Amino acid sequence: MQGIYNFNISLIISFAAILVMIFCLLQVYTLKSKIPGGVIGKRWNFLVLLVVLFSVGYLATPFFGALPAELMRLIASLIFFFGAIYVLITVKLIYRIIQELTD
Amino acid sequence: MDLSAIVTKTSKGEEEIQSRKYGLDRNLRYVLILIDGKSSVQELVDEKGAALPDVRGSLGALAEQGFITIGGQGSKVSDDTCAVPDNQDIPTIKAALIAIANEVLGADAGKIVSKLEAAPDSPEGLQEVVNSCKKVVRLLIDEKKAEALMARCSTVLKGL
Repeated sequence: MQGIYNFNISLIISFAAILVMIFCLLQVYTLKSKIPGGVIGKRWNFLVLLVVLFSVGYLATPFFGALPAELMRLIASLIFFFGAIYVLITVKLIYRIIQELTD
Repeated sequence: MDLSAIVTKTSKGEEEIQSRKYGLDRNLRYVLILIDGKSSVQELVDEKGAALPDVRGSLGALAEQGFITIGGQGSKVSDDTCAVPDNQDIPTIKAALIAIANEVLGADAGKIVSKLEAAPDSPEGLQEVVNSCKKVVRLLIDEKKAEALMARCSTVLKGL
């Protein structure tokens, strides 16, 4: 009973995460058409790529139970790694925007 | 006037841009600035000079006075030739800035043109909006185009 409860909770959270990520994907694509280039445009392409990567990873989460433990750990660590890169790019981008606007 | 004819500056036109030797009327001067040796009459009237009054008439006057040739073998023209206008009315300068933005940014000029159109009719206000436009172009469009836009707009704003 406890196992089923845990499974349902994690599945619900996974689906919620997938929905949010799909929304993010739509947002980055919509904004991409409004940012043809410049300081933001250059980095935006990389952010789009990372969001696509996350979306694929998130879509695979409901099937994680069927994967070997070793592979699961590898996927999780890759998601953490690219997540850290995403945060780094976002922080640097915000820094550049502030720098440009306050110059 | 053949609308598909390419308009080029003559050496007299180049001389006027560089030295103001002939004291050209300001509207004619703005039209002369827009001539890059590649655009046709149609493009100058409908696109590059869309924000300026009576571009077709100005082209005719410039040709008559020997500053440009229409469909001829005109002299070489540099893309980055800019003019320094005299103290002139803000709407005309604003129109010239809009024409420059359209020329430099092409299809991406929309937001910048809107900002310039909404700029206050004061030299300080106009300068501030041009600076802000440069930042927007740097961030969202192209860093090199931002520099080109600023360089050309600054030359026009020197006349304020």
